[in-house]
Amino acid sequence: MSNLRSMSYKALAMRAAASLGFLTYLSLNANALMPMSSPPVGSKLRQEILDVVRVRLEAEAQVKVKLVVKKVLVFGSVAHVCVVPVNIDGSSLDMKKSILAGVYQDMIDGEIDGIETGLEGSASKLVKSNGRWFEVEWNGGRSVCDK
Amino acid sequence: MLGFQTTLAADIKVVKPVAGSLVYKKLLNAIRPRIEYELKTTVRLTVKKMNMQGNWAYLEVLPLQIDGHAIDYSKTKFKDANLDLSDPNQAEMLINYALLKLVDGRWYEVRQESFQILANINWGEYFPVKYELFNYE
Repeated sequence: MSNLRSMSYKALAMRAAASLGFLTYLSLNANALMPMSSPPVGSKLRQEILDVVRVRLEAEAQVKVKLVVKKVLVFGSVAHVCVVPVNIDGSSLDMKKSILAGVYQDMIDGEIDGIETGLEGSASKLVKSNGRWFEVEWNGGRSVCDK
Repeated sequence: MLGFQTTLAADIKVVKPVAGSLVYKKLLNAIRPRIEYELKTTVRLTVKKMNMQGNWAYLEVLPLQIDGHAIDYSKTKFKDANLDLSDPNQAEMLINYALLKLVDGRWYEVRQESFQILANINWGEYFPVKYELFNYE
């Protein structure tokens, strides 16, 4: 208290401004300061996150899929996910039955060099908004989970 | 599975959700977080097209700032696009296109495009939905 009394108003104001600045930094970078965690297998959080990715991949595959999880990392309201979708019995997806069948045929016919699809591997970024997870970025390809 | 879905799609009519209805809001709220993430701001979505067929929906929306002004794309990842907005074909590229699927009572975005011309979006060729869902002329 005596220290405070001896400080000038200017010094007090500067300290207050510095504290406010730090608090603003904390609020703006809350996700960066959040501890990174990997939700345990079977947890509700993990299920919620993976279900978002699963819907998109099932729409592409045109079959029910099981996700082989390479990575699920959560930082506050941001999640990074990397999965390889397979058939429910664990076998590889048949691209010829997927929405990408036409593109796949073009590759076989040599009309295109190759394709990178979410059916070979899918890396996503999700954000939580109003209590629900949303996929905001995704990339597909055989090697996306290696990065 | 594909055959089943194709049959199902053929039997279900394409409808337009009523503006302001619950499903209308749910569809917009299903794509809003992704758009706000990309544009780094909260947005108001102007609906250009919204069609629904069973558990599928197709949306074309133009994102605006909350106050109704145009988005400042110079602060987004699209800053290098350098669009000439007086050209209708380029202005069309500001529209967000989204295909959504309803699963367990929730709408999920399964395809989306922005900064793309409509002619390049051919989801109707791949997904088990009627072409009318996209209102192709």
